[in-house]
Amino acid sequence: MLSVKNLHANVGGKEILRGINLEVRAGEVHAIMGPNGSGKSTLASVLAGNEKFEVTEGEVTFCGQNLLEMSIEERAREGLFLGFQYPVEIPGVTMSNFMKMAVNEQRKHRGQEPLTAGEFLKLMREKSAVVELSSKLTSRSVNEGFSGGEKKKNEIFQMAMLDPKLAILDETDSGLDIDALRIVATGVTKLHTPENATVVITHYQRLLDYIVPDFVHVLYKGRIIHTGDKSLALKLEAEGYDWLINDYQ
Amino acid sequence: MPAKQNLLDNYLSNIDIIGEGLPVWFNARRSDAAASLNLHGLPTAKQEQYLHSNIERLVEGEWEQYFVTRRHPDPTPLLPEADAYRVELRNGRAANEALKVSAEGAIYGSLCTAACSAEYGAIVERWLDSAADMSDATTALTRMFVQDGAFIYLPAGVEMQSPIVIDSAYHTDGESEMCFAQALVVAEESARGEVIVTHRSEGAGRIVVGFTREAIVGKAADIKITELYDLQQNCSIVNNNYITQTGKSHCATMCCKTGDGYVRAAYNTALTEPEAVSDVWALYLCSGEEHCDINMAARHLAPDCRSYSLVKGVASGTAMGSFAGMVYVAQDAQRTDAQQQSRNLLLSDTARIFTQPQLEIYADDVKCTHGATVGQLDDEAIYYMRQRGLSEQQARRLQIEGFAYDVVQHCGCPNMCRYISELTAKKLEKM
Repeated sequence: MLSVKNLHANVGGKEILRGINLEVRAGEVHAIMGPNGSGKSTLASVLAGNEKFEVTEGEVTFCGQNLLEMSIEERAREGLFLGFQYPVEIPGVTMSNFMKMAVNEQRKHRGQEPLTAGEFLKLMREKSAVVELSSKLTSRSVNEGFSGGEKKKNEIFQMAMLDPKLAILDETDSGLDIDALRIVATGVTKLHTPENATVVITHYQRLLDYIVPDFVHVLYKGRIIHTGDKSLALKLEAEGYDWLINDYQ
Repeated sequence: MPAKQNLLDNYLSNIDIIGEGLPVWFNARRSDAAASLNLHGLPTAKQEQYLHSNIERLVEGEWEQYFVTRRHPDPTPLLPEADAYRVELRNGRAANEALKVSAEGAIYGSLCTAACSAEYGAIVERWLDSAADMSDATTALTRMFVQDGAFIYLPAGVEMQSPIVIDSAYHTDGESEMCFAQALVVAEESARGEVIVTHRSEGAGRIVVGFTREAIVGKAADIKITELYDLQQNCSIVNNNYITQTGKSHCATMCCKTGDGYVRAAYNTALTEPEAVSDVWALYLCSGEEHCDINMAARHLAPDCRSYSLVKGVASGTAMGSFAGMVYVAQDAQRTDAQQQSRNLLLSDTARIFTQPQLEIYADDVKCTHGATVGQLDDEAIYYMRQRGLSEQQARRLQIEGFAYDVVQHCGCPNMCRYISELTAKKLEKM
């Protein structure tokens, strides 16, 4: 589904990604871990098409297409979803209005008719239940005045609404209390199918108790220096990154 | 010939026909206004309130003025509000001379008819020009030439179920025309109601409009005013609004400029007795080479009053927006609570916004805040929306609509709110 080969990317002239290789197939869950500043969020942003970053080398194909040639919205419409580490507040734009436009743009892209008001409301109700998101929040402005937990739930709610092929969740667990973490993580698990794939970026093993990864990658200084199975996350939790970094150096 | 002299000459040569059929007191004040204009002259950029509006240039040159009633083609019907009461003004004159009484007991119709009527003449004489400031040149100019307009009277205790709409349309096909109108809204003690004022234009000719509106809000009365400027590019308006509020009254004003024509609008509120509350929301959208100039003043003349204003401007192309605000707190207006906010959005490198909120405080126990921001669209928000599948243009539009919504949502009448939202969306397509 996603194939990243030797990806290099800069921000402001500084090289952050220095040769990433990653293969994600349908039905898989990948976890990306690594110390602060290793390039995890940059990788997510570059895949989403954030224009702040400049790709200098490498190839990315997504479902057989050259991802790097696509605009941000084309990537989204093709089924790539990014759960933001810091969801943006958009005053005056209601969640329901925003989601209606997003869902219908994506449907249009797939050659489907737009949802009627009734169908859309039904979908909203159904999907907000996945993350126990209060229906009050969906009538409010996007993320405005949402608590940290609500913002993250809202990301997963949007993921549920848009039903992406590939979801990249950038530190969806940061800033969550134990209950919110469980709700968000089980929400993600519920949305997982053999046809889609998930990449979770996280610092903590506890998220992976819920979202069990098939692969755990360790990113360091813009490269994946080690890949293992879920037991790697447990080992990192217990021992930190030093042993890997020392090996790498 | 200088514009002022031109106007005064035109006034003097037509003085009989201008005042025909109007009461003596009405015309006596007209000549006072002419004297005031003669004394003060047309405003120049040296006057702070007119810093960004060149009135001299607006009114100079040859303008036709018609002092007799003419028929204008009916403009396209406005407002999907079936149960609203209407006063239709065509180039400043009421299309229907008769005064009407609403089911709730409000009187509405032609200002001229009201001024001449035995029943309401005294009310018009008592309140017309009572709030307006004749030392303001454009207010004086309007008063000098005005022959008609709208009269709305809510007797004590009247509670309106439907809004009263002043539908003011301007039309000229050939020559450049200048026209004037005045509106008077009197709400007596404990009256409640909503007034909607719409300014719109049709026709191919240039037109300049002088408009003055006074609202007298009695004790504990609660009045909502919605004003819409939906003018074509060849129509300009100078609109001076004066609101006088007495004890425990509430007046909420929402105005919105969605058209392409030049708008210079002033909203002056005087809180003359304790516990009066004033809210003003304004939104202007300027594209192309347009210009919009908003002035706002809240005068706290009594203790324990509250005023709030929020003015939002959006400018694209080489458009220019300006806002000048003033909160004045008199010496004995203790425990005043006043807020004035100006928020602006620039959509291009060449658009300009000037904003100048001011405070003038003579009391010592007050809470006054003011703020001004000029910013651009939030790139992060646009990225976020695009990541969900919206195009860049949709994301920009949605964000500007969100910015505007803060003001538009304060329109009391749902149909009008929808109508303004549609006009806003239409305007945004040009931005």
